[in-house]
Amino acid sequence: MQQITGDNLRGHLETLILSALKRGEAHGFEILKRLESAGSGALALKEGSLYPALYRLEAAGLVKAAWENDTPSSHARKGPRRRIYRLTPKGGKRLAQAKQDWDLFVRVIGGILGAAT
Amino acid sequence: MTDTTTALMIHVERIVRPLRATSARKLRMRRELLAHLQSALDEERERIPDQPAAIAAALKRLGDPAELRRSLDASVPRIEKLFLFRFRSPARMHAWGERSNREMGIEGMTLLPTLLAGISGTLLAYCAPALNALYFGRHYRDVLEVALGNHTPRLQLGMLACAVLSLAPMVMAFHVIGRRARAERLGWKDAALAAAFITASLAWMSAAILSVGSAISWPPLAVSIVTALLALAALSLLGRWVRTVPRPHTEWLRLPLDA
Repeated sequence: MQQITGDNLRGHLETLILSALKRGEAHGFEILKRLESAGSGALALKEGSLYPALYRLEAAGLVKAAWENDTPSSHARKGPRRRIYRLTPKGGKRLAQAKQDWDLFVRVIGGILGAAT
Repeated sequence: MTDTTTALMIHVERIVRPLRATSARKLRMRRELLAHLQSALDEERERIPDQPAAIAAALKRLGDPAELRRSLDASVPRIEKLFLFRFRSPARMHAWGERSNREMGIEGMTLLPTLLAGISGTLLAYCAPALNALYFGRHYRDVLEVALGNHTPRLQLGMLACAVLSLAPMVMAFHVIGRRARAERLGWKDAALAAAFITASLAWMSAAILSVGSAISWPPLAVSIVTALLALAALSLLGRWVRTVPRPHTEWLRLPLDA
């Protein structure tokens, strides 16, 4: 299967993360698993690239984060503590806007390329 | 800590250590990347029975370390980088990383108590003339009147002398707190610094007394010695307290990155 790699994902990764978090709060690794699962194996992310994107989203107030043991849903586990991310209302609005923009993009560009409509 | 965890931590530390960011931010990055690598390794173990190969596969999944470092660096707010500005060139990158090895180490932890102790020590030492004034009556007030009432060269000289003499308690504070924080005994260097402290405060008091034309007597020396001894005891206690403060970065900073 042809894969979508880092270069093609540039600019979309943050929206993809917001979309993954819409399903509920998650730590970095879980977000990655959600994206991989949603991408049906066609997404080839460099896993480390997730974290700078998460930090940017947090700085923009689109997601909120808390250490694992500080969240009520967390449970004791072996290994280093993980940081749990969740979507903020602002992040939800941004995601809705990004979806609209994407739909428009696909409609217009798809129409030009003759692939859709 | 197992060898596997150490291998993962070393990989993370090589990425994070050179970043220009606050210690708290770097610690967070370290912990998150380590947790991620640990989860990736658990997955790889199921696929690859050979442990070193599984570790290598987990590390590879994280991506190119240099590229990740650049991305993490770009995620640090500019204001934070500006605050932590240090002159560096690519050639000095390694040396810079080595310097940041001290982040939140003993020296880092010692800095704030040292500044506080230095300032309060200086105040204490140079308030000694005020204590002296209680003994001698009007002397200290006279000194202040002469110094502040007239903008004479004496005032400038007095300020300069005070600044120079302030170095003694400051250096002593840094040295004593640092040694006690490393659980070392105080030695001859500390005694020499305490002597410098006594001399400095004595010099200041003598200058204060001489400036109003009085003769120097023994009480200022006694005040200096007592002040220095009290300061030594306080600094020693402060150093012991610094030693007890947990430093979450320590285990990361002790990793053998060159190995």
